[in-house]
Formats: sequence, C-alpha cells, structure tokens
Amino acid sequence: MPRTTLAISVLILSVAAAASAQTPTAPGAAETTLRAWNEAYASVIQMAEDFPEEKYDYKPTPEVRSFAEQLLHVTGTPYFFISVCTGQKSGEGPFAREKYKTKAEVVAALKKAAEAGAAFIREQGDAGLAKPAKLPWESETRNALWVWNVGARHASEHYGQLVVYYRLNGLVPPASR
Amino acid sequence: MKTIARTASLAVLLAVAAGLAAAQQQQAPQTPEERFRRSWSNTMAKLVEMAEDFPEDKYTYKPHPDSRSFGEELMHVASVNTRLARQAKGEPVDNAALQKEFAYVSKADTVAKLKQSVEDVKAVVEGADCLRFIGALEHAGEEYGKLTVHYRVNGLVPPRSRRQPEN
Repeated sequence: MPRTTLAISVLILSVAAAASAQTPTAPGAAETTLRAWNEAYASVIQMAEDFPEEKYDYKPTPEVRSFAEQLLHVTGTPYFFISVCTGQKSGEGPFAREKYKTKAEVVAALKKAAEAGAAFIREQGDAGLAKPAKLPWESETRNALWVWNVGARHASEHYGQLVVYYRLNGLVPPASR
Repeated sequence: MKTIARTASLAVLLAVAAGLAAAQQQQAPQTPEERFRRSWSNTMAKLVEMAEDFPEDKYTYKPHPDSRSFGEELMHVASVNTRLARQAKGEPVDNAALQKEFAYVSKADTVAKLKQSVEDVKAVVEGADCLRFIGALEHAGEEYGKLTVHYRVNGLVPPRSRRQPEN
C-alpha cells in the first residue's frame, strides 16, 4: 500500500474513532433507573436526617402512617422489590417502629435500604432488568425494569406526602428553603 | 385421521400459547423510554382521577398558609406539562403569563386544564429523548403524594386506597 494511502486511511479511522467517542450514548435501563432511584431516596434521606426527632411519631390523621412509619415503609420496599425479582425472601424486616426506636436507627436503616436497592440495580445491569418480574398486585407479568421504576416513583410519592407533614407542623421542607 | 387432527389441535394450541407469551412479553416495558412513558401515563391518570374525585368545596384547602391549595397543586402540574409542551414546540414561555393562565378558578376549569395539559405534553412523552423529563415524572409523583395527605387531613380516602393498587 502506498504510504500516502496508508496515512489517509489511518487519518480517516482516527477521525471516525474520535467522532464515535464524542457521540453521547443513550443511557441504558440500569443507568436511568439507578439515577431515578438515587434521586428519590436522596430526597427522603435528607428529610429523615432533617426532621425533628420529637415529631417523628406525628401523623396527620389516626389511620395513616406517622412520619417515622412512612420512612420505615420506604425502608422496607427495596427488600420487597429484590424478593419480587429474585423470588427469594430477603430476610430483612419487618421495619416496625417498635424495633427502630430512635431517629438515628431509622436513618441508618433507610440509608442501608437505599444502598441495597442501588446495589441490586447495578448488579442486574440492563440484561438483568429485562428479566420477567411480577408485582403481586398487578395482573400482568412485566419486568424488573418496571418493578424498580415503580420503586423509585413510590419513594417520590412518599416524599410528597412528607412534604405535607412538614407543612402541617409549621416546618419548611429542606428543598423549599 | 384422528392422530392428524390431534396433532393439528396441539399445533394450534402451541401456536396460541406462543402468541400469548409473545403478547405478554410485548406488554412489559423493554426500554427505559417505554418504562418512562407508561409511568408517566399512570401518574397523570392518578392525578386526573383525584382532580375529578375531590369535592369542589375542599379544592381551596391548604395544609399551611404557605402551601399550595389542592386546586393550586393540580394547576401547578398542568402548568409544568404545558410549559414542557410549548418549549418542545419552540414556543416562548412567559412565566408571569403562564402563572396567570393556570391560576386556580374552579374544579371544572382545573380538571379541563389538567386533562388538556396531559394531551398537550403527549408529544414530549412520545419523543425519542423523553428520558430528559424523568425529573418531571418524579415531580408529578411527589405532587400526587402530597395530595394523598390533603385527602386524609380532610377525612377522605384517596381513590387508589379504596381499592387494590394497580400501578
């Protein structure tokens, strides 16, 4: 091969490689799910750390969960979702207020659960999230991607509830300050 | 002949079973975009359901003077949807005008504007780059969570808590 042709070929390949490296690749299922999961749990953890401990047992009406019970509910769900995806019981929980008596205990359990969920999503990756999974209250079998998406949105909804708990106590939620 | 008929029946049965399995597989959101779209539509459906269900005389309830009322929370969701829809079309969005357009007036107006906003934002949700709006989905979920507490504080049970949940 003439030297000029070889040089041009190398140049073209280099430019193509550089262009390919610069093209942003669309985030995969695991990456987008992990992002949503982490954002939702970070907001709830921030509240758990911020809310006054003496108000942890506040509930807006007798039939609903207290602030601490909401947090413990969100703590239990990652383990539930893991068991939905694996078909095996996690061995964690139940996350009853009687067991998690202090704010520090609740916060620690919540952080551990958030990380357990994040670790599971990372381990599964895109291929693992494509595996069939069925939430017990849904009629159709979907997949793990759906299950963890429901998990992230579930945490966001509870975050929204806790925003109102703040306001009902005359407090301003951290994100609104 | 009986054997042929039995074999044919079995083949048809297997084909139907395979078709059903394939259909079920298709129902599952296979990509992050499909998952996002389904989640978005479920969350919007839950908000519209609340908008239609909540008593009009409690629409102005707010848990704290600094908070939005029930109606204002829904109008806030409608305005976010509308903003996204207009920005996607390259239309200029004037904050003050948008705020005025989505000021709370009545339950009927709120339901109508929320429903219209859900229609308007469909093009964004259907877009290839819809994952850019995951934050808006999380936000809508938070708003839904807030409104469940508005229900409870008013002695009411949120629609989804009156039956087995189906996300």
